Amino acid sequence: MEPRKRTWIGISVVGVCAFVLTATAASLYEYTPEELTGPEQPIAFNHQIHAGKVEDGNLGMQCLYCHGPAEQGWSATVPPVSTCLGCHTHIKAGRTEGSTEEIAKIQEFAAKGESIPWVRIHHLPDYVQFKHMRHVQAGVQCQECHGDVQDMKRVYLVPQMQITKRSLFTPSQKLEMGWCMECHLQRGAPDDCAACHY
Amino acid sequence: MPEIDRRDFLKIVGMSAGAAATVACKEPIHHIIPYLNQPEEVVPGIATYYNTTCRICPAGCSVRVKTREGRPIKVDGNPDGPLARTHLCVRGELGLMRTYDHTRFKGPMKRVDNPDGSISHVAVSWDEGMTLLVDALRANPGKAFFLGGHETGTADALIDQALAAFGSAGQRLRFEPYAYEALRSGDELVFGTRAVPQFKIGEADVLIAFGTDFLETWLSPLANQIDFSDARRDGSGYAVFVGPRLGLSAANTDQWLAPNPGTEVLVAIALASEVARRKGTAPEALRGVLAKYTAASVAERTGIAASMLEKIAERIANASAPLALPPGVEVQGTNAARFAAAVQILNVVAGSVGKTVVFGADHNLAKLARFQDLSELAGKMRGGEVGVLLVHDTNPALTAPQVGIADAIASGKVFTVSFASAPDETSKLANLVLPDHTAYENWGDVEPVRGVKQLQQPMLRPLFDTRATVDVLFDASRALGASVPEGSLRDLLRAAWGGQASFDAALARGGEWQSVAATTVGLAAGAGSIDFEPSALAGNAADPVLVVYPSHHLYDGRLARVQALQEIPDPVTKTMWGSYAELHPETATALGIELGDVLVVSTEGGEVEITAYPHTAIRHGVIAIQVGQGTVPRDPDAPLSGQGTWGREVFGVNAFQLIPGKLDPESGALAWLSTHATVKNTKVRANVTRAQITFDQEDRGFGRAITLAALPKLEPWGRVGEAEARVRPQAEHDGHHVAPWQGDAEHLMIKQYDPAADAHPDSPYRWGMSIDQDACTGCNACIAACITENNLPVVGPTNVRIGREMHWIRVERFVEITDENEVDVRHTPMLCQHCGAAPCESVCPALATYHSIEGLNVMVPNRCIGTRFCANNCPYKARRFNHWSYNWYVPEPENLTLNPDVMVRAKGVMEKCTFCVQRINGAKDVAKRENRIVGDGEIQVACASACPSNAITFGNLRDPESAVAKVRTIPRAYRILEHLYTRPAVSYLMSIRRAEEA
Repeated sequence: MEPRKRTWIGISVVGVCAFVLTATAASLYEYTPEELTGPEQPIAFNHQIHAGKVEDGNLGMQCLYCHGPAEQGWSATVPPVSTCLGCHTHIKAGRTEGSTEEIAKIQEFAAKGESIPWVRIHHLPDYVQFKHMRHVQAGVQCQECHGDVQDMKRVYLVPQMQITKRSLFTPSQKLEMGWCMECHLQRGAPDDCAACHY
Repeated sequence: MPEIDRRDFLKIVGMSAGAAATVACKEPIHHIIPYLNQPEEVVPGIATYYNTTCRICPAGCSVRVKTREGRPIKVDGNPDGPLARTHLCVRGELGLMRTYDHTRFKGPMKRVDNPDGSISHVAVSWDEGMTLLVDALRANPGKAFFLGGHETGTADALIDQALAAFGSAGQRLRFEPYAYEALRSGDELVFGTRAVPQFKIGEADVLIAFGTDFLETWLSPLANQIDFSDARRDGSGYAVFVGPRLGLSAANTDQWLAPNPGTEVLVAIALASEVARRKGTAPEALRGVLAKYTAASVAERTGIAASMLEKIAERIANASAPLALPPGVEVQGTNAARFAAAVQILNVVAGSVGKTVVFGADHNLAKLARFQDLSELAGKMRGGEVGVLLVHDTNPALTAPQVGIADAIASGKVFTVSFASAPDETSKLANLVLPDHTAYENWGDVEPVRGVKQLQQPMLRPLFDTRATVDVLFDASRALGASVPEGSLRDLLRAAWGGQASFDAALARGGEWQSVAATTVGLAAGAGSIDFEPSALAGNAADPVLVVYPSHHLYDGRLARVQALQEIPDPVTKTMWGSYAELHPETATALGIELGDVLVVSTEGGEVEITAYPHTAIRHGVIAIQVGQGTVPRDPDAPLSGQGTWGREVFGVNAFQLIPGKLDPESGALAWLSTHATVKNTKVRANVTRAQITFDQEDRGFGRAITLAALPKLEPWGRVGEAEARVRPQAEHDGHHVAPWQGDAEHLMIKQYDPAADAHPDSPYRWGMSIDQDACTGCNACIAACITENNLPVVGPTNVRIGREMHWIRVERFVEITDENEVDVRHTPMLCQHCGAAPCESVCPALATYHSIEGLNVMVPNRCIGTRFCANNCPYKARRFNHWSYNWYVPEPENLTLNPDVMVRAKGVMEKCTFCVQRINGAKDVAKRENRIVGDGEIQVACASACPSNAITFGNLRDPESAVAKVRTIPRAYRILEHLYTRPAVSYLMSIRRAEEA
């Protein structure tokens, strides 16, 4: 065998081994919230201050105070700017560094008559008809899908641990159907395709 | 530099390309844009409903519009409205498409005359547009003229005020091509009043129509259809049609008389005479005229046997509530008023007046212009008496080419302002275009019938830079220094409706409906001396008679831009996307014409090039052309313009231009039926775009019928023997030939089965449907409703011709060989049958179609890999394949019509009727919250809720009390292709043949 050819085979073997090892390590790796900070938003809204525990000095607001339509409608929705201003007409000083400026941005958007272009984090394809109300009414906690948002300074998509045929622990950053179905089957929720796909 | 050989180079390039591709695989950023201030009544994802009025045609039905996040997506009939009563017609269902039309005027336009003589328009600002309008009005004091459509409400009075402010009070015409001039004059001749009464079709047990298109455009077609189906429930009622064409209305009657064109009036008066003789109730004044005409004396001229007329007269005389409908435009000749008078005399002698012909709650047509007035206007324009012509909501250049208004406008002598919201033939010539909102963006009110006052409110903010015409006229009046009431159209409307509180209450209801007391009418003095001679036809008697008739889908052409309406097959010819010259096959053979030949049809009025379409639903010696077309449909094949066509494209032609401008001297109406036409065959073959190739069902038992006599003998699920509806000759005579659906049960593999069993044992539901073929008129409202509800795309004529149409429901039309004069046209709506043993399910390699626990045959498009095995295996041809991502490329703002509850399918996947699973799930959402199961009637699928004939029943087969379960026990019920053992969940009810056997 030519030395040149041998070199290539060697490189390939090392490469494949490295790939397999990295992939295995990656699949066993647990993300920490600090590593998954989520995308930057037009206003650095801090869920922790609003919804975090009162014992920790936060406001402890209910999710549905702002995301009320989750109980009645399809979408949980981001609240209209008027809801923010309900409190922030009066509360103009922030608690943390830089937050006063962020609160001022709400007033700016309202003054311009523009809405806030929040960056979407939880995105489902068009062929899925997901209804929040059915899940909230069935007693599913927000945190079961969205993670502990009340502890997040900036919202991110929580990696979902799912057991599939292909690998044991695959952290998925997407809201995938296998993960939906696992819960649906456990709770006896519909497993009919037409429950979501039409 | 070390050399890189070819193989290494390729490896490096490949690896870097792969790496680049991996890096590029980043999800695009999506935004969530919340409301600034969320309206109180809006919950995102939950629909809000508002009542308004459909202004697509002058009938003015009250509708309920479903809006999602501030945009209307679906129109249904207002259950409280007396005209629509929860249902809606094919035009109304797709009326929103006029608002979302992307080729609408985006703002004001000004005419530019190019050096080469052509005319183009450039955009101007509203300020400039208003200045041009005000300058023109100032330069022509007292010479403004307003040419509008049918307006009956507050806006009508406001336009009069504005005209008075311009110093041109009363210089105005309300022009509609179907203006019922003949009927108004006929009533004057007989009753001495020009009122158009209520024709109570719902209460008539014998109905006779004289070329009346009462299911298409005549007076209030939707209400007519609802009433007509009520009158014919379960075999009751009898209807006769007299006219040259077996159109949509005629196909739903029981007997068709086609007298020599022009002599229909003799049939009417001879019937009156025969009825009077039998009943002996003729008023003294009429005796003389009635004695002149008898069935025998008109037989020769009309070509209708006397015995036939006598039989019909017998029926009318014995009926408890007979009704004769005055002539429609297709038989309107130079004797139009007298013809209408003859029909009203028939009503008088039959005792219908006061019973089924009720004066009092009259149709509000008194102010409509006569066609003659339009001719006079054209004369005034040529004579310089009109300085500024204001054209609103009417299109005389298309619908009245005879009078030469278009030439007068094009000459530039008259400053023409068009208020059209979308380009049309008149606005193309106008000096200035000041676009109005469309009806769904505007305020207004209508009173189509006395006592029926309805409000119209905006469903969305105007999509483009348009202004309400009343506001424009009032602004112009103010600029001219005239005093007009302050405020916008909305303020003035509110004031007219008695202030805020009563206005709001009426808005919530949709209007105010008062009952109007009936008035009695007597015979007019001259009623006994009317002369009923047939109208003379011009031209060579050997040539076919030209019949021009109104369009069911496109009305008079105002809806020609709605592509979805162009693509729904015509209820009679099943053609789409264009005009066709209809001839009887025998007439065609005599003239040497074949299907698809391009003909040159000419009359004194004009000449058109048109595709020949021979079919049997038309009289011999007649050539019929539908109006409504005339402009090339806008970009018909977009976004597929790259596709080749195989034949010559001949799109729609304007049939109005073939009508010579002859008038009926008494009523001032245009004589539609007034000439023979010269037909020249060019021998060039054109494409024929059609949905159905044959109207013969080849003995397969799709559309079945039962005679009225055999109906009581029919056994439940009676497919057997004598009771069976109609055995075709070969089945009778050939002992061996028995159609698979016709033998007795032992012959067949059919086992009695319960379709309710085809769902999971634990499921409380098995969804099913029943369709009454006897009630179905073939009006296509179901198709239109399905299109808007389920985001069905428009594919264009080229794709339709290669079998790529996407309608989930189609109405099949079968014409049986009938005894002379009997009408046996069966309309069979065909959709996915949600079979219990579905052939499509077993062949899907991807499990993309399967049977759900509730018995639905579910199609999951996102799982589909596009093998099309299922469509191949479906005996009902109910499945549709997306050859393109049609709806992904609709131009803005047309995408706003898409229903967000239903996915938009992409290229390469199969789709089909889902039984509106989004509505089923919506009803279950409500039921689940209340911890109960869905009750009967809570789910209305789109086709069923639209159906004006109440032919479709949908519901839960597992609930024995449900309407659908009950209707399936009617003996007329049968299932299509049951012998294939597909266990369909859709059952049909046979249509009923009411005519006696010959």
